[in-house]
Amino acid sequence: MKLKDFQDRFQRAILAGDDTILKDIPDGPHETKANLLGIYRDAYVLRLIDVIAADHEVLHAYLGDDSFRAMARAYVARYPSRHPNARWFAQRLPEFLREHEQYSKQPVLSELAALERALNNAFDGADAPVVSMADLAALPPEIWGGISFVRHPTATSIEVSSNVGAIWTALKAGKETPPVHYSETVTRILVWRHETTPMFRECPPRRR
Amino acid sequence: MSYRKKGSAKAKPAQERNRQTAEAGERPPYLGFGLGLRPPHYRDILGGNPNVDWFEVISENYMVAGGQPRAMLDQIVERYPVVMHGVSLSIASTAPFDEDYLDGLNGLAKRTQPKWISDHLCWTGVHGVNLHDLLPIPYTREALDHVVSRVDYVQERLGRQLCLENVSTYVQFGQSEMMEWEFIAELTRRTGCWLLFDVNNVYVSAFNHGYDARAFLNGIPADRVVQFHLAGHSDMENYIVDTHDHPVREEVWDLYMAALKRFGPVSTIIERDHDIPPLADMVAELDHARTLAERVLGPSRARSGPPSKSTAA
Repeated sequence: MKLKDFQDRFQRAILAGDDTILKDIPDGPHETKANLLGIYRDAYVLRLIDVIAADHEVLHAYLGDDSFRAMARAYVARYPSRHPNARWFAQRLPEFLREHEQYSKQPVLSELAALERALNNAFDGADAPVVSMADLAALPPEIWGGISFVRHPTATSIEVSSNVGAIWTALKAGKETPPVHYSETVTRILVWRHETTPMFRECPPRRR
Repeated sequence: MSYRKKGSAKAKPAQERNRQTAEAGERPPYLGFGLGLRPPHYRDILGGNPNVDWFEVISENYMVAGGQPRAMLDQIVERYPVVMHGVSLSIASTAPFDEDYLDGLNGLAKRTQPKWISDHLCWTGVHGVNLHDLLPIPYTREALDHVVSRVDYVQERLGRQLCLENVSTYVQFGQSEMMEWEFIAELTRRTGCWLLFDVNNVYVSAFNHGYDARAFLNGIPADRVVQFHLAGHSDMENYIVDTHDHPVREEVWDLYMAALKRFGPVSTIIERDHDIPPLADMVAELDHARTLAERVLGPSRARSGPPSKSTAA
């Protein structure tokens, strides 16, 4: 068998549970080949669940370990990684939760994932200088009419319908989680990085 | 984009290019005793002066745009020699290389000036999928030719010799035509790549496949090994898994001493990826590696490394 065919078969064994590759694997001296192949199958899923957990500490705490792992397992099955860096593996989690038959019934899950994604992306987003009050004070008054601001590359915003900010803050501090409530209006949450720390703030509703 | 530069392969016969690559680089310097850099230790490393000679950094962890990871790395690089260790090169894959990934490696190398760049003799996926695992290959002549051509390409792309590590494996393949150490020996002979000898992985694979770890050790060309990895594993009774969640086991320390006897002083790190203890515990474990090296090699060789051009300079 050519290496290309071998790799195709081995990958299908891991992703799709295809056992064809077992024909090419001898039993080990102490363990059956099926169990030895199972090490790769199990490790694949468990490693990626750990990746999602590492990036979603608060969602993990909100769901509890069993529910979180079941959710993460479903994500791993739905979206195999297509990036060489596992850092980006969980990027589609908010959309996955929003579209999933079961999880979409609790929009707060997708919103928590979206907030954590925004914070994670702010954490290791691009560096750039920030305008300080002193910088602004040094500007001559006559140019104020013509200046415009550019947002820092880590600054983003998300739109939410739940009290996800309060829930995140309570869980992060290990406090009791406030009950979820959904509002008719959309709240915008600003996310950015201050020095090396990701931050967020809920914006007051815009005046109409 | 294909990994193979077809034009240049035609212009120069492969064997000639391989020979040139093999002769191109001087042996990297001896760095002594280091640790795999892990975020929970940043503060204690930068705030103290731990007895650690150098750090190995996981390349992918720093292939990000900015923020704390890059800021920490910049500070580490100012104080310590650093080596880049990747997990996603997928050198043995039959899929085309991810050229953006190679650009990222080059960019990080420019920033950190690593003493060398390593990855694993494995593949991580095909058809655009990354399984984020270090997957085994059958040790065939076809696979060897394939990996040789890929190492050759990466070495040209990075402008330096690559260093490749043996991985822990749990299965073997009926079509293998040689043993893993024969494959590795031939790979380094043909490409001039350096070797990262993972002592724990040799122990794990030897148990799982029922061969003698010393046969592996003796099959590796002594002059190509520039780094050792030490790590803990999980003994599941019928098989062993390379989990990096325990201290180094006694049997692995024994194999480390045998490796020192065969390879002499080799830059060494301890890896820990789960249940990471405080830095002080890792430093104490590293002290144990130092003590064993001094016992096997004598204090002066363990400290200053082999008498080579690069260390004398």
